[in-house]
Amino acid sequence: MAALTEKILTKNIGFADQPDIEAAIGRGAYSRLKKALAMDPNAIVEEVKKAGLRGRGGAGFPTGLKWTFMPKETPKPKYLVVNADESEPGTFKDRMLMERDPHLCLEGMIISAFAMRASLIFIYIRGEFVLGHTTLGRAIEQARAKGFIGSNVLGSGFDIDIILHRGAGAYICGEETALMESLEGKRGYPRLKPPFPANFGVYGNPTTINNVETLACVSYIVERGAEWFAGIGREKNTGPKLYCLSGHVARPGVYETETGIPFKTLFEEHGGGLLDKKRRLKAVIPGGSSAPVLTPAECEDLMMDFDSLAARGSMLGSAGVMFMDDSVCMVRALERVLKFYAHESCGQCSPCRVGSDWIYRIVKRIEAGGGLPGDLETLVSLSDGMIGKTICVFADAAALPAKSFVAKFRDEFTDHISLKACPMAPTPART
Amino acid sequence: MPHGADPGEDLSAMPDRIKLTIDGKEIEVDKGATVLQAAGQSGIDVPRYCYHPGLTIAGNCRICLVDIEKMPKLVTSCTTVAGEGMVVRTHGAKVEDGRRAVMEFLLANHPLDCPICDQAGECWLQEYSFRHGSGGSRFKEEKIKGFKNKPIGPHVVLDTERCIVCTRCVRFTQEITGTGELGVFQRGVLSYIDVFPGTTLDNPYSGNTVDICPVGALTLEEFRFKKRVWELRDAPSVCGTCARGCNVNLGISDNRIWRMTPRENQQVNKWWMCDEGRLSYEPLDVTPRLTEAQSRGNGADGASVAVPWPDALETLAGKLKEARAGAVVAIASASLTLEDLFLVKRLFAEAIKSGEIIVPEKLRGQDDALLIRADKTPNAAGAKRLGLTIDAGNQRQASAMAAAASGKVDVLLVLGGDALEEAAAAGLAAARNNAFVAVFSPFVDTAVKNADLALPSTAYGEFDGTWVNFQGYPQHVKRALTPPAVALEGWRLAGELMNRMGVPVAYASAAAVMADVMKDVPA
Repeated sequence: MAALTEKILTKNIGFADQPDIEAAIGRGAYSRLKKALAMDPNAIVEEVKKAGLRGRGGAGFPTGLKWTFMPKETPKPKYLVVNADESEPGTFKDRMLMERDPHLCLEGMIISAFAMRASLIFIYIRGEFVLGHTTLGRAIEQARAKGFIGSNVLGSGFDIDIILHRGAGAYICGEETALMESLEGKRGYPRLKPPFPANFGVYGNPTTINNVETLACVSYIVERGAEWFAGIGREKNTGPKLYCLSGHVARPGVYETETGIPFKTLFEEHGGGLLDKKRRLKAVIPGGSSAPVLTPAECEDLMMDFDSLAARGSMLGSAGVMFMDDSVCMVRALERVLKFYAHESCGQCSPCRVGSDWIYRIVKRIEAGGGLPGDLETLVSLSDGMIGKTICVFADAAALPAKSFVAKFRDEFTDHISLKACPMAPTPART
Repeated sequence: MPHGADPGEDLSAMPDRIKLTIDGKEIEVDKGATVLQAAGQSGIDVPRYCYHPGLTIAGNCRICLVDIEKMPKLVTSCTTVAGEGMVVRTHGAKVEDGRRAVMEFLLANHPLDCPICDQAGECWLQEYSFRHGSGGSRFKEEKIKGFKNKPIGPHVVLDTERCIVCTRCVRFTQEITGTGELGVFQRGVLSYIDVFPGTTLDNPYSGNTVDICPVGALTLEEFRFKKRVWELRDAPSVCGTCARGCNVNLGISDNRIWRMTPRENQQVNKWWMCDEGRLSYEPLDVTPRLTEAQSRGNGADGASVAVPWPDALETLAGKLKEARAGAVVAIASASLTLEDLFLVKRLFAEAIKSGEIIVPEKLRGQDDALLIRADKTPNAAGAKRLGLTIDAGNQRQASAMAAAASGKVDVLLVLGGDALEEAAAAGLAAARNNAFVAVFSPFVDTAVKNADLALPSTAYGEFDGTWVNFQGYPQHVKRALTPPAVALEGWRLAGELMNRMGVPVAYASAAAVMADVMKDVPA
């Protein structure tokens, strides 16, 4: 287990011409595809399993294992869906990969499709990613012209095509089954599971959905082998990982390190500590806004990997790490987080449809000085009424942060209620 | 041996059965059944809003949460397939907490306007509040506003504030009628159901959305605010609007039908009925009833005079006896019951001994793929069972009317309020010049106005009897309303005439007639 000593996924993002296929090929793009096409597809799956690659979209599910859920013998076409709907607040890593190194993304997708014997790739890209969409679209055309996409790829007998589909502005369409519904032209409601996508996915055909970063990793697993990948990071949390740093941090941005980097290293060495050195760190949301918030004390010896964060009651999620210094009103911060979830609930399940809005309005009222005794108890019990009672985990994503904010910063909430006002300085108007 | 298997049956074709335990009760169900269905089969009622047996499973209301051993969270019983050895609890603190939470969410923005809501008394929000809800509300925010009283079609009115977005109505229009007028708009707490822009909910089955709406969001234009439902008694019956014979409940109060709703019958109409049938009770109250037997007066104005039933029957029996051989024609509606037609047939065979029974054809439109039949009579199949033929194209009827007008017919009997179309009923005026025209009808209609003798009959809902639907199912029609004292059923009229013509019959009830029908008619 080792730290990452070189850039892998982000190696070439600094080159302005990297989106151009000739430049990308000059830097090694599609050489991994050639190698993969000469391999037995099952061997690629085995490599990915051995590498210990876990899904980078948020759930951290072992990628190789997920691939084995695809039926071997089926008369139906198999699909790979690329979840490029990166919408979790605080997350902007896939966007960077697609905008800066689209061929790395495409190469990983094609190799993965080959490993699963999928015949078609759907890329569902967040509607707001206009640049990413243009860049990927151009990259797909270039790759098609080079024979990396199409029938009989590089003479291997493998046929693959890619459809690039833009989302229309719904967070829930990043949930894999809602994404499939949306892809089919329907309202983006998450599906009941079972059936699972591997058996009944897009248009009822076997489908695997992977995140952009996950698939980008596959290229390098093929190039350098599972052992190399598994040697980076920590046990069961392997490989290079992109972390998105934002908030009151001196150098916000995307950082590539080994999975499971110590929080302190990520924050202080990469992020440069707080933006305003006179202030203290107050709270950290470690994995996108749906991850329960952590206090600085909880971050003291924290390792930023899937299992360590889960053990601490939060999650690595999409690795969108948000820092808040002591100028932040936690009630106001929660209000903003909950406003997002209230706005983005698809409205299918009653507990989430009503609950996400209700808890938002309670927190909004508390922040505005209208808090009432009993509000916090109601807030927590409503959150409990949402968690685990819906078709997808969106309700949990709204309710878990709410519970964590109240549990860890309860005094701030009770101050708001007893003062009938926000004790913090008003948030400066945005310019 | 699996249920219902007979020894000759190929048992490999029977569905596999699995055993599970629900609330301590061991239950065996077909493989593939959901936990909710398994519970239902053993009489355990799990609450549900979005689940409807006739629609695909949505799993969105979340009220049917149950606790299953070895599963970390509560699960919705409507979406969970029953598994071998599963141990399910539909009660207990964990389940009750879950349901209470769901109820609280469902009622948070609900207007709680129960006192003026048409659904009150048959509202599942009320029912499950009663069972699982809390007495007070913790909701201190402003309620979301929505549409109220929005007509979304000729028969259906929408109130989105009461709606719980269970999407039963949406799925009905997608899956049952295939018309897809309804959809969910907006998202999150602002989600609401509505018709798509530029469309109206005007398919021939729109009223079913009102039946399946578990709350007061969809109400029927024709019924809303007419009656509180707890004042209604549901009388099981059969719709008489077409040859399908949908099973229905008649909502009765004050000896009057206030609404008709479908009654589940998997062989005939599943859970549904058409709007035409649903509203077929409406004319019953507004069409003037024939309240006495009437004889055409001798005066120049032809004004009718009331005659006592015995006199009317004597007169008619006399006319039938006097008639020349072969000069009696009955036009007998296929809306008459099997019992009515059986005795009319006996009247002709045994008392009149000659003459002709014509059963008019009443076709309109086309059979559709769901329920509606072009044959607008409920008992044409029954008439055929009795050996009567349906008058294709109403050719024989036209000839008989012409024959009556030209003096070749002595007595023309018109049996049933809907026996003649309006034009044919007007033609009775010509027939009356040379033939004695007797009309048996519940209403003062055109035929009655043109009759020499008008005899009041029972109307829809007022008689017992049997209709055979187009599939061949004999369906019992039960008397739900008290008829006017003067009105007779068809079989009684025919029996009384037989008695007066020297062929004694003594039937006390439609059931007694049916017993003879069974003896006479091959099943």
